[in-house]
Amino acid sequence: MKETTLHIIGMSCGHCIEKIENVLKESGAEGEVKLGRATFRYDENRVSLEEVKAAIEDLGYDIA
Amino acid sequence: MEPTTPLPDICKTRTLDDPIQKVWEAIATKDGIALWFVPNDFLPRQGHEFHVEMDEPQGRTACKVTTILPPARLAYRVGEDWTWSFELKELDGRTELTFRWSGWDPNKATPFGMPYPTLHAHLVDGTNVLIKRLTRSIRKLPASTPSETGEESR
Repeated sequence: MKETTLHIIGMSCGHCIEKIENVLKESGAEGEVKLGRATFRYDENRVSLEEVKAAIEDLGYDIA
Repeated sequence: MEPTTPLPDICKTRTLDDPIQKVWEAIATKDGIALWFVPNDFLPRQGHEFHVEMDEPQGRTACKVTTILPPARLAYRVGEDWTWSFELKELDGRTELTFRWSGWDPNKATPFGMPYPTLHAHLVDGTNVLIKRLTRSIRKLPASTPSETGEESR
């Protein structure tokens, strides 16, 4: 398992947090999401960091 | 004292690498809209009344197509006051998309009680997220037929 923090641009409310949490959950990642930041652990054998980033960007957010 | 400062339209322009027909499919089909916005029962017909299933507290919202000129211009009313319009320009295989959100009466509020000036301030940046989601959704679009995009009436 790897742990990382992503700084996310465009999050502004509880809905945004919920959407990012759902993306992480679907990716099998576990962690904490706050406005502008997500810290999580993920299994590299299951999902790559690039795939997680792409899923977050598909929601419309930018990764700093 | 009521606010009197006019609220400008929220307007975003982006240049996309996708051809204009593909961008049109994203904005003017039920499945396309669902990919970047919410589930809906949109049909590409002038005067068509449809609903978008927005998150709470806004919830299910009535809409009506007011302009449809495939593949260049689409506008629909959203709720009682707002209009969303989309203009597409073909740029040698790429597409310039302009999205405009108008109808921001500073003296009005949403059905859930948020004054438009408050929501407008929030959405000036929030709309960037929506438009980015739209642009990234295009590669997920399934192959379509002309009848799904309103082209059959041209």
